[in-house]
Amino acid sequence: MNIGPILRAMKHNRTRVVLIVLEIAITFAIVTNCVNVIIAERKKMTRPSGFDDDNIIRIHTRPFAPEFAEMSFLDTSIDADLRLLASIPGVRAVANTNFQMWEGGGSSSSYVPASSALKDGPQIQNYFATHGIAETLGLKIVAGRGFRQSDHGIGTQPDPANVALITRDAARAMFGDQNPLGQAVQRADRSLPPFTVVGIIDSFYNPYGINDEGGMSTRALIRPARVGSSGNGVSYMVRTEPGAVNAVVTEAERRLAQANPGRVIESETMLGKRNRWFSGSQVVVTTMTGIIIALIVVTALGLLGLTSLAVAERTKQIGTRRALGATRADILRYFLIENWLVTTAGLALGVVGAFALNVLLVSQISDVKMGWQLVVAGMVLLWLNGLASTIPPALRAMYIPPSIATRSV
Amino acid sequence: MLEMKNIKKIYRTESIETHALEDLSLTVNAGEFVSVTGPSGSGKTTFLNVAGLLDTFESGTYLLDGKDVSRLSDREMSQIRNRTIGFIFQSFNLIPDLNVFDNVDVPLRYRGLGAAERRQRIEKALEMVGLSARMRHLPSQLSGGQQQRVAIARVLAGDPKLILADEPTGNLDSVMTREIMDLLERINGSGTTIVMVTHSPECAERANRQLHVFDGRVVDLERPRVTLVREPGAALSATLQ
Amino acid sequence: MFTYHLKIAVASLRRNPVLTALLIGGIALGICVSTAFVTLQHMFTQELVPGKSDQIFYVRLDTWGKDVKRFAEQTIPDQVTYKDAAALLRSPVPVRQTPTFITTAFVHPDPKIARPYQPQIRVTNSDLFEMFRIPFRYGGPWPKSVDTKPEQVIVIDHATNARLFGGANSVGKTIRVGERHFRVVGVLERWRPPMRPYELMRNPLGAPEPMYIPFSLTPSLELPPAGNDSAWKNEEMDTYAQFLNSEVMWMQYWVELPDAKAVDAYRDWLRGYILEQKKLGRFERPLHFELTTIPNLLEEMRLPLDGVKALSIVSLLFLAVCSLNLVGILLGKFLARIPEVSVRRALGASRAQIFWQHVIECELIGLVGGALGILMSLGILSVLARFMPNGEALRLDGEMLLTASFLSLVAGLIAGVYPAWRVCSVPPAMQLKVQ
Repeated sequence: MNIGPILRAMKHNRTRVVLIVLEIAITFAIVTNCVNVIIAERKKMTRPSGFDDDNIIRIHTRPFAPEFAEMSFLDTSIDADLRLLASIPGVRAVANTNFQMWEGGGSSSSYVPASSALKDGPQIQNYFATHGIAETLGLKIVAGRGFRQSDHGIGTQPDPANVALITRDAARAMFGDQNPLGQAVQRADRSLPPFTVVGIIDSFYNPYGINDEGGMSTRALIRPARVGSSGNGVSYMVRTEPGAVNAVVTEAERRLAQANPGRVIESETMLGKRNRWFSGSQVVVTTMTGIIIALIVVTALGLLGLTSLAVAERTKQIGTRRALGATRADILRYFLIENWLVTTAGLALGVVGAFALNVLLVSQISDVKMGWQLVVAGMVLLWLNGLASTIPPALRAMYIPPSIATRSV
Repeated sequence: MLEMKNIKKIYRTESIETHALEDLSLTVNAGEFVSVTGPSGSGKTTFLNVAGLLDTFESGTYLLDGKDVSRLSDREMSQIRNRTIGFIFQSFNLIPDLNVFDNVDVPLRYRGLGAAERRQRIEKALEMVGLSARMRHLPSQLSGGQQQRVAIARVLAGDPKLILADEPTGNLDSVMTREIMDLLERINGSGTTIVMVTHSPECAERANRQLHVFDGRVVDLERPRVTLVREPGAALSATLQ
Repeated sequence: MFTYHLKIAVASLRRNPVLTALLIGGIALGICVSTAFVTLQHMFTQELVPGKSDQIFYVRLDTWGKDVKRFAEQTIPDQVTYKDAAALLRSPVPVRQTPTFITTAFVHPDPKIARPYQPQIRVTNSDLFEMFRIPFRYGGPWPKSVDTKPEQVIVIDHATNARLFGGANSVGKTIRVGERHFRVVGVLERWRPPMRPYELMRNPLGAPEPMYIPFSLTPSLELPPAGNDSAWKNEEMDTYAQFLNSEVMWMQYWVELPDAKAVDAYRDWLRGYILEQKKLGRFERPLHFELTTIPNLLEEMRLPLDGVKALSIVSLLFLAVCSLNLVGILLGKFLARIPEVSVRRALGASRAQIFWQHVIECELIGLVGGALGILMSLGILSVLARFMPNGEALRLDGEMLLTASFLSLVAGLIAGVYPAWRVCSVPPAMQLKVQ
């Protein structure tokens, strides 16, 4: 069918055409940008952390009984607590550490290879932990070994063996392509003696700072030691068998309180913390999804309404066309082509709008540049949407009898 | 009452100009009942539209009730339509969603009358057309003749000086036609000027004076060979008096 | 005339309930979404300290050493040292000023009431309350004299007062914090700002601390910092006195400067202070300090949060689509009414009257849809609040209610003006014969 007459007919229905074009254009701009943001947020949320987030509990004890101020009492209480926690059914591994993930921060220092004379090196997250830490967090040691009990010093004293586990990214930041195992590293300010890298942790991701431009979230260094004080309390990480988290929380709190009531016990699941950390992203994803769905429904209804109006207005004309020999397929094709043309015009404008909105949004949200695949996907979606909302009225048009032509309205 | 001189009305579409009224001149005196006949497309309806200020015209002058209404704003024209003129249409043009009372109420609302006065006028008008009992009925519940009587009541309630009727009996059978014509005569009898466009010779004959429109010009049937174009309007009105 | 138009509008809306529901639903959806997200943004953009956000300045000093490698794009430390805070307090320029940090300690309530717990405690001068307009229920800030002559006094929040004293006026009562007893001088009103105005650099969305004690107690009680601290210098730090005298940065400093003259005077004073310190070997880098107002600080911290602005932009565009949709439906609805309109025109309705009659109908849709939308947005807001750390502060205030009503009127107007104009410009004569 020739589209010339269709285009000429559209000129007489400028309002309807303009409305549909604008509606499609804005819808396209919003949908593509929302999907874009959703993809970016989902990427953040689903980035593997390297931890067994689903099955880890952090238990923090805040002692207030005076005996905890005695270093030796505190030290022995840590070992007792670790034994007690490990004995709870459903517990897979347990460690005492000052590390906790999904805090958005932690502690960090600048490190350099001990052999270098550099005064400044990459900023690396650093923590202390007892020997079960890799197993407890679910971290994989890809080279070298994990901590042994013999690596520990006495109580909360730093390790006499002077060893450390570092993540692969931390190794790369300090040693490049060199094999980091067995190398000595040192704090850039030389405030502590050097220590030897005994193991490399595979995947590790713990967001550090809001923007993390330095890439610190994948760089960490862990040294073997018990850690805690009467002022700041003592923390334990507990990894449970899948599904045992809630039962273990209850039992652990009960047993710890029973063992020494002179302290406050707080526990939280890493899953809960992770969800809290991503709550902003979750809000954005959920609401934007909602907006996309609502928008597509609204646009579809709008198109349906406007096309129905067009059919109703042209009932007589359609009857006349039929009387003059147009087949039903011709009528159907007429409306489908007409709406396809209008939708496409809307999409053309929408692509411009999408990129404009993207520029506006990129200034608000970093890292959400629009990709062409998304633009194409959005176009296909709205074409289908246009088609779906044209078909019902177009079918109605198809069944308008030619006899209408001779009837006066 | 109504004095048109050299009225010219052109309908334009993209490519065609149709001269609907060509130098139309006409005088209708107060209290007259004038019928206008003419073939389809002769310009009857255009004449009525122009006379009723429903439509504008290109050139010429039009005095209505002594006032020049050639170049008025929409607001002023609306006000004259509302107060001076009453319309009766072939298809009655009642608003289907309003009941009889509310239909008669429409022009009174636009005149901004108080509730009490409107009620009084509506009731009186409906009484005159014999439909007091049907006040709460919807148009669709009435016969054609009854609907036209409501339309007439709508006119009467406004108490206009001039009634313009466009084929008022065109959609009615002969019994109802007679009924409506009687009513119009009665209204004319009480002093209201009526200009009625009609196809029907019987109806036309019941008017005081019959005019014929042909090709956008008016011919006075009582003076068959004289077209108003050539005769000055003043002279014509003089002969009519 | 207005009542007549209203009557016609209502009748017209009642005539086709499905269409009316669609129209009202459309507006309601648009208003609901846009109100919710504009309110969300409003929460972050409303003035934090009403009337004087731009008179309160955050003080930052570049005390870094020459060789310090700065984090990312940071150009100045975001906190100050204890010794600078103590020195800044000597400036006579600010009308109000306070250093502040958080500490933590065990609170030992009467064992019959509750077990010991460890809240965060804000350490501050008395000026903080007045400066940030923190409302009191009972009592008030401690006297200014306490800021120089330390006393163990405490201000507690509404919830703590309810927990420890059953909500009664507890001024004069004592609370055991750590090993010491503190006398309550003031109880705060229930207060939950969307952001802690005095803690914008660290966890700004967190709730205000439940307890406040005088800054002057810091050296004598050896209060440990519970917030963030950052050090760049390798220093002996075996005693608390050494810590206080170190280059470790762990507190915030706020000043209130009522006008430009005061700001200039304070800048001069700071310049003088830094030059004096430079002579003592501190402030190794080029002279650099920053005075930042609350709104500017928020901007620097990228607050409102990224997604919030994006959502409010998107939601307003969503409202625009809903409005466009309405234009289409209304156009259809109004144009179908041309015969009736042309009768009314013939009977004396002016173009303006027809126009207003239709605009009123649209506004009616806008208002009803808007009211419904506002109700629905309450639902969205309560869901959002559950996801947000400061959700408690997220609510539809009068200003937002006004904005929402305004939006719905505008949406009705935008959607209605064109169709109303189209229908009123129909000449009265055209339709007379048809029907």
